[in-house]
Amino acid sequence: MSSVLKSRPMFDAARWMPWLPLLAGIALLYVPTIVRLANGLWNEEANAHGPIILLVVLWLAWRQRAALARETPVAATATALGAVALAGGLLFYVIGRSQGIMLFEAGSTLPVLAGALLILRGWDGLRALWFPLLFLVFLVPLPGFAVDAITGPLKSQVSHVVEDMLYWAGYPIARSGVVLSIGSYQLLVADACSGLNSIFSLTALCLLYLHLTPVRSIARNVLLIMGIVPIAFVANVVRVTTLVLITYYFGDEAGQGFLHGFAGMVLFIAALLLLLAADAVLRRLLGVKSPALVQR
Amino acid sequence: MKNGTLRCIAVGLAMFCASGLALALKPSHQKAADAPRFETVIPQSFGGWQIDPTVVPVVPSPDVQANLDKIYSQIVSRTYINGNGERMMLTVAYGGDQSDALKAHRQEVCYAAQGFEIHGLTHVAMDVGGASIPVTRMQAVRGFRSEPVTYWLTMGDRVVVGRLERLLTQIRYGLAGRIPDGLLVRVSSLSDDPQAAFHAQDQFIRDLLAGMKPQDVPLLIGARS
Repeated sequence: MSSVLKSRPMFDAARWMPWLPLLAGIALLYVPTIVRLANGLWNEEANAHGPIILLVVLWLAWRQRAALARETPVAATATALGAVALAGGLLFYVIGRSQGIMLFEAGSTLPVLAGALLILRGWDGLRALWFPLLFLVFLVPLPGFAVDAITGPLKSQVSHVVEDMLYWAGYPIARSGVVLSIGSYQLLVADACSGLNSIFSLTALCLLYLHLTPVRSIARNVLLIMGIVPIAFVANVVRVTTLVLITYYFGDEAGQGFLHGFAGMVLFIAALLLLLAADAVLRRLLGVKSPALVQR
Repeated sequence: MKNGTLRCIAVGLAMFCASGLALALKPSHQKAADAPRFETVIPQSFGGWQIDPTVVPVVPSPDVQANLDKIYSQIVSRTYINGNGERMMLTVAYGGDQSDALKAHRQEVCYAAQGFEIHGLTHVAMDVGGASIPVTRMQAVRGFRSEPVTYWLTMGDRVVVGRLERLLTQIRYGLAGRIPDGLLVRVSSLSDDPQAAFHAQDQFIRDLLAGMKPQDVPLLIGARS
């Protein structure tokens, strides 16, 4: 065999060996968590984006593998802070895992992994992987109090706007609280229709978009992030309106069946297009150059 | 060994210990193993009130019922009537395992989800002969139906108000190896005058507790309220 071929093996066991205790530790902690999420929360609409977020995090981390492999001297402050983060995170993990509080269990990934990274690779490591670490936030199921606080008002606003629009368009529509009556049908605007889920997943999508298309314009980035909630709201009004009209023209079954899923898709595409349009308009207004996907 | 490798082993070891500790601290003993029968604990008549035989309980829709069955293992739902023809609706719902995702309903959320508008949501301490219960009050309105509601939730041995308090109670129970049970007690009536209705509801609750066997009272209001 020639030495040229030998010099770059596909898989260098010796280089990966030292990582084994760490990888085993992470697997021990979080493989059960992922299994539990996959069997439970990820099957609910509110957290259906979970698996995609996980894949994105893994992909983003993989992009930075060169930085991970680079051994650097670790500052003492980094080690100390990392140890604190790791210990705190593991405490949350222990409480969350043993008491069945997913908020703590999934939430612990952030301090645990950030702490481990600080101890092993110092500030440079944290700088290289800050975004995938931050993205882990979207893996944490929203706590109930936040859901309740946001869902209610959002729902009634959506119902209100849909009622006004369709009334103005001449449809026989009336509203009482979050119950819409159109023709002979009554529709309850359910929690899922509040748009909270879409705000959550759209925020994730928007941050990912901003990360992958870096433009040196703080104004554009900030404005685009501020636009997420209005965009999700508009997209959601589109969704509920679509559903109401489907029910009006094709009956209750159509509204609740296949077309319900279809309306969800309409929502996502509408939100995505609005986001891209908003970005194009912002870049034109602010005079920044068109972004390109950067490979690092 | 290299410094980096040592660090890696240390971090891995910490994770290993946390994983083991979490497994060791999992609670197994369910407090509710010998749950009381609330159908008999709550008297059929007391202090001038008796079950209104003319009211057929409203059966929830199947999807709502399925959800209720998941959360609660016992539901007592009754309408009482007194000599003046005043009616009170009483619901007592018991769940043996309240640990999973803080299940028991907060009624303001529950009513709102069914199309009611919620007005005047307040938390007050209600005095019931010697003890005080931290109750939540609200007026639920849908169309012409106005329903003032007074309710409270217990978890384990105490009445809990906020989510934080419930979370802390759950953790306290769990770390002691127990799974807390929980109870929802809800009293409501149909009235356009919430203040008068709340006043009547307070009296109804006091009558109810006075009409129960003294040893059963802590089941409803918590042993430590």
